[in-house]
Amino acid sequence: MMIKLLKQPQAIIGFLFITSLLAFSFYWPNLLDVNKTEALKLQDFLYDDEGRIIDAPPYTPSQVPPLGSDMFGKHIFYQVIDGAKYTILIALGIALFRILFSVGITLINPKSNFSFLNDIVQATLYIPTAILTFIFMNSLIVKQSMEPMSALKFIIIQCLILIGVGIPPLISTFSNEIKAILNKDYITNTFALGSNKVYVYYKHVLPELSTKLVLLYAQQVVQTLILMAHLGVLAIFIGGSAIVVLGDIFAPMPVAIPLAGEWAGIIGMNFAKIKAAPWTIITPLTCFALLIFALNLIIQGIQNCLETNKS
Amino acid sequence: MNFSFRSYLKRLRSIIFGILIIGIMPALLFGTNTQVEQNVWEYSIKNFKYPLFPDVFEKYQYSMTIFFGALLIGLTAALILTFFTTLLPRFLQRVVYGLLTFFESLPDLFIVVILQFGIIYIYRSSGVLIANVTNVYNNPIYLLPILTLSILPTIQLFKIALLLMKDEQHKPYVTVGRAIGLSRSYITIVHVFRNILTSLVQYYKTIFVFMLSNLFIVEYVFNLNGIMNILLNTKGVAFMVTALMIAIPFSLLFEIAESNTIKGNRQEGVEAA
Amino acid sequence: MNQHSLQIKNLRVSFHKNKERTTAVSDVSLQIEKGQTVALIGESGSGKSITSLSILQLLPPNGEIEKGTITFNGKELLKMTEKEMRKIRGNEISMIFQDAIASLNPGMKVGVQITEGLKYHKLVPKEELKTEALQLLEQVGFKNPAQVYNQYPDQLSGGMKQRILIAMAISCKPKLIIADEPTTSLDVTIQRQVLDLIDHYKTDLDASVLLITHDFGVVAEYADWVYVMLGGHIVESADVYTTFRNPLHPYTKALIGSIPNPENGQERLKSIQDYTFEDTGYEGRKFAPATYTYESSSFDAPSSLVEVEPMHYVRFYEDERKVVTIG
Repeated sequence: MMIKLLKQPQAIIGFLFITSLLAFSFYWPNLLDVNKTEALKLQDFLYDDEGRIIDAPPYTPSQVPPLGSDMFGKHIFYQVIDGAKYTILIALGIALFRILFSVGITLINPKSNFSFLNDIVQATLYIPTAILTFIFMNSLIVKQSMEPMSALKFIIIQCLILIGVGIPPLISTFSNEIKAILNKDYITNTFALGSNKVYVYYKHVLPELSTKLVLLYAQQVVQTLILMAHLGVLAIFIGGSAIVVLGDIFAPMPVAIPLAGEWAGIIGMNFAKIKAAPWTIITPLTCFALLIFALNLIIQGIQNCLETNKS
Repeated sequence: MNFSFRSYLKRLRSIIFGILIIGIMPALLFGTNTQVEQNVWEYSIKNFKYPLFPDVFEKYQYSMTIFFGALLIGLTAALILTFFTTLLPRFLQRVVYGLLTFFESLPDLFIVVILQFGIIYIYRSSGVLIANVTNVYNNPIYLLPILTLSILPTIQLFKIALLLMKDEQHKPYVTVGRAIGLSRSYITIVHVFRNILTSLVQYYKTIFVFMLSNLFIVEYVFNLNGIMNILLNTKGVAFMVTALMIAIPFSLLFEIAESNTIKGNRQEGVEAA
Repeated sequence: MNQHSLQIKNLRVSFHKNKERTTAVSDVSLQIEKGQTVALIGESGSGKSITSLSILQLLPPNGEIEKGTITFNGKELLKMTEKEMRKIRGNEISMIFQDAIASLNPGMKVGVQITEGLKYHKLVPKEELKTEALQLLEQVGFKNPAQVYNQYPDQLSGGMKQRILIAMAISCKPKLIIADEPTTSLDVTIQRQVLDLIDHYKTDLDASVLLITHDFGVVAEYADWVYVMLGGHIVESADVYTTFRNPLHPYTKALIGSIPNPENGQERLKSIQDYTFEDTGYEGRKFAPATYTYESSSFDAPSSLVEVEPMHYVRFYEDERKVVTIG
């Protein structure tokens, strides 16, 4: 299957895009030859050649090439590049754990109907995932404000929420999938020839499921990314946030700034400023779109592979 | 129609139970003290509290108007586009398909933000306000949210319809139709489209669920006061009631559609046996 | 008087895929006279169906008629526009397809589908469409036309669907019916019923039938004239009696030889591969092709149909007239 995937040009393009973005995100200070702390520092005012103040942040892309800055004067371009690694790795990790947990739970008891989970799945159809996650995250934040917890614990709980939200639908997908495989004629045949259950699962069900797993994994990554973007807009940041008061003394404006540098955080932090500084939102959003497109290319490639396998 | 009220009740029970679990779970996990501060029948937006009833009905109606308006526009646009695409030469059809795969990847948030910004930009540079971008007090906007919400379903439906069309056009009955002298466009409209429409019903669930999620983003970004905004800002019992208001009619639609497609499948099964 | 209903001359059809060209039909000439049933017999892949599709110009988009003429009642079909062709299709020439099960639109009532041709060609006013449909259903042997009218194809059996297709094909009273293996997908028990229907229609309206088949039993019963096809060529053509009494081409002999004969039940039934072509010749001429293969290379050498006795044509190689016959 992997060899076949290599013959799908679009999958390779998607894969190369993501890996090079990841590599660039890790090594950009060396590659672009800039100092990382210098590039990400706050820039209060823009000065002209003679040292006079020209403007206060946010700066437009023409003032601070290439992509302008946010309201703290941080370069959007460097932020986005630096945030890429967090974004990609968080999405990959959460999708991986979603798949692992749901396969594990399904395999423990494959014949069960999971009626309790089925109820949740039925209900979540009508509640957008972003709202569902928001409810949990919000409770978590309220709790944290009342009884502070360590940053690590906070992040782990956040990730668990993100993982947990995706699991019920996946379990119902898997249990249906496994049931369909178990109903196939050749499985009946293997049982008729006297093989035991563990052998059948190991030899027949898992290999048949594995191609589907790769596909589902890629789709889960896309869904996690979209969910992260939505949460960003709702000002829920993975890794927590700090409240900074902006504006003048007479009209204080509290703004939540994310502590980790992932893209959803950049979107959320600047969302209130969308009309004044649209580039702060559009840049990370475009990156999200490109990343999802690259993932979709891979998904398309996998699907083509599966189709040629069939015929 | 072999819709059975009993199976719908069963599904409804399942939904109610699920919503109950979801509603209680945050309190269970993070302690009950998170909700005491709020009256049960209130929702709060930006630290202002509003009573849930009777506000919710008006917002509900507003959101549903946007939802079904967008669905209708999306479906019509997708079918019209499909028809014109089939008239194109083959390589252009492939280009269209490739473009669709690209547009499909755009997150809903991206489209909403770009549209909003685009309209503001046009307004600033030329003074032409294509549509109001946010609600003016007591004067809800319809045009822009409906159009925005309809974009992604249009793309998805268009893509599915194109794929179905490709399958359908190579079926023998098309050749039979041509052999008795019917023209290509007549066959496409009368035969192929009829069959595509029935096949499209199979995808209703994906599209609906997807659109509900989009509706939320549209409401949030355009700052519309709709049902999704209430859902976001309520807790406990009020949340459950609002969620049920969305779930009950939609699950009824799902049940009706499902009972009909299952019937169709069963018939095919009998034929194959 | 040369009153041919349909005449095909030197038809050549190829398909191109990925810039590669495959010739499906290389040289086919045939004629059908008024009131005749002409059988076109050959194995799958020999180009029978492509020939029939070319007559109505319904080839798939990558197929192309390269050469030849097709005249119907004195009109040249290949020079007609798509619009003119539409008037021919269904109206004057119609076709019955082999795959009856998939050939009806599953989402449309049978009765409506039958009269679509009539409606489209505006032969019958709208109000009379239903009575016309019921009549047609009765004509193809349905005892309960009113019930069948409202049914969907899924509710009918294979034989019933094929009869519906026949009803569709004869709805506009065409002068020529092309029946492309009309009984292949059906039970043996229904074959006869279907073929009889086509035959009755032919005699009633004095129409002609081009019967495409691979079953010599069917040919013996219904056809007046036989064309044997192999690898895109017609290898032998004669009236049905001559074909059975005196088959000359080894391929024809092989086909006839593969019909089970109850009289010598002891013998093993022969398959086509059991026949070797190589050392056979006729009156010093060598049959084309010399071997039985699927490859078109066996047709590379120029060959032509030769009239060996009045109205009996067999394909021989052109240059290698002399054949060294062993023994």
